[in-house]
Amino acid sequence: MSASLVLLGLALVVGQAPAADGALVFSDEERAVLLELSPVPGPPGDPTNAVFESAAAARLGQALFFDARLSADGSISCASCHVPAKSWTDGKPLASGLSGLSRHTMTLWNVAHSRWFFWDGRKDSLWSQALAPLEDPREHGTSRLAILHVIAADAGYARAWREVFGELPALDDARRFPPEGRPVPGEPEHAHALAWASMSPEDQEAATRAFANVGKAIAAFERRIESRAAPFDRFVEGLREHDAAKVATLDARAQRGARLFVGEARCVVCHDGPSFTDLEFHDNRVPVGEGGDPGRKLGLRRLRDDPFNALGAFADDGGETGRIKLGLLTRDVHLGKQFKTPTLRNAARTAPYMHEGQFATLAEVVRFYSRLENASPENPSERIVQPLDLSVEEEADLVAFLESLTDESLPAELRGPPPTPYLPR
Amino acid sequence: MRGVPDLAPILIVLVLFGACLGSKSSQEGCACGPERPSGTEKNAPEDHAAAGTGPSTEEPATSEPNDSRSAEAMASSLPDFADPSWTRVTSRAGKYLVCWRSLSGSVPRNQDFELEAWVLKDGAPVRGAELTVSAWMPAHGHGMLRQPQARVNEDGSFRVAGMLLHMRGHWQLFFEVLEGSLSETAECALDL
Repeated sequence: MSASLVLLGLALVVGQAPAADGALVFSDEERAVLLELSPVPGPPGDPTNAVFESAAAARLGQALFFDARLSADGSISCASCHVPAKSWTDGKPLASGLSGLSRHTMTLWNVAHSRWFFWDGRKDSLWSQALAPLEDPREHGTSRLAILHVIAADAGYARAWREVFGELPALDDARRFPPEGRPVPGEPEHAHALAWASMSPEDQEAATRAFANVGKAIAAFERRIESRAAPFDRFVEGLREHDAAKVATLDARAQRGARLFVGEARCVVCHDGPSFTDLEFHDNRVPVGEGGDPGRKLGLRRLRDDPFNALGAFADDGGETGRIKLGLLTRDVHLGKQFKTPTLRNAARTAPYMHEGQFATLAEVVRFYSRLENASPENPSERIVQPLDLSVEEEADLVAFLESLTDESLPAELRGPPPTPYLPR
Repeated sequence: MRGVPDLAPILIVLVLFGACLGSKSSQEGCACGPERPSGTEKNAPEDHAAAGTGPSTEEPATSEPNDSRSAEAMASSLPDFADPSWTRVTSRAGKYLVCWRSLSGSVPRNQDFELEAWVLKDGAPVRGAELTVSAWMPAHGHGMLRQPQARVNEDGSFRVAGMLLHMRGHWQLFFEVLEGSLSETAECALDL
């Protein structure tokens, strides 16, 4: 028996996998961590959304997602920023709806696995997140009443709505339900606010509950935007099954990057689990603009005040999820400017990067963590963010690894509006 | 202009962290000591169904001070803390033995879990004490993002909800027992 065969046998016995060229053998520890990063499990449930897993709700939500009538001038849909062909983001440093925004559009890949939403976590459910852009004057700029009128006036929507949620409020009564209207905090003279104030509390509640259902349907659709078949997943399958051919799905460079990712470079500390995120928030010392965006600190305050949070009246589990998730959140540990750890799934397709789109390429991102050039001051609660001092070769290895997380093989029928908002019988 | 860090909360956290670190003896009292609390020789089957029936409060849970059962009777119904599912931690000054375990059987990373905890003094559950559970990642400089909620059960144990150790790495787990006006902390290490 040749020496190489003996080495191969030893590697398999101790659970290590050689690369195709025989150059790379992962330690037991590295292998164990890599195995934790794949496969992607099914999306978790959301007890605050009773229709989260409903196919009919997903179909309705898909139609709403792609419908630009859900905007003030008929020009903006959810898909305007979350463009399927651009990996469900927009390719711009900063988002723009009806006007410009101050943060980068986050991708929707595997979004249902998130714990918090938006860069600052000001939303605690996917359905609640979906509502915010609709009434934001800088994004869709519309109102809950206008949206409900669109749905009521469209026979397809009305049918789908009945099948998923039952009857709509009596929107044909224009005295009770004006064409437009929403609460406008701090602007009581706003036309939307005046119209809203003319309504009875009962009708306001009915309209708001229906508006929450719009978000719940959109969330049911977004739950289906899953990426789970990247070359990296096949590589891990190979590690698990001791299948050298599958392991060789990643070339030597990407495998070296994988080793760095879970080892010396410590990326996995924050980008953990099959979604490559710890689902929480960090001050990664990224250079920030002059706006002084406080991130999570303000997001947490907005979350607590949000009527659509998991403790609110529109959570379908009566606040059960929110009692722990929101009720036990600490107030004093969010130091510095923390932003959500984004997923790395399809990262190679979602440039630019960071909450203000500070970096144009993955190479720039890796170089930043390697050298921390122009970094924000060190944060005492983020002591792990230190220069990695990687070589140029190692930086390229990490980029090659990140590129191996690419899988955009979503069914074509989910990449555009459905033929009808309701499921065919 | 980039904001100047708000030093007040940083200082508070650092001071609390320093207090948590305490003396070397706290480390020595950590995790699975060989001592067996007195009064645990007779062990009744564990009754998890009774867990979580105590009063709901966001304040640190306080066990009832005037329980009619004798300490001996209570001690006779204690779980078998020698079972490997339990971690036993002596408080820094040696006054208390805190025995805890995850209700799911293991401590997960970045997933919600609940603890069952017993605070023993001289082998019997302490009545009228408050329990506060917290955790810290010394290498990172931060702790949990939640304040877990400890509720006292009728049998004197505590059920701690809202535990979430969100990152891989080394954690310190703190059990602060407040009895009357005096407190002691038991500390345990976890590697996730």
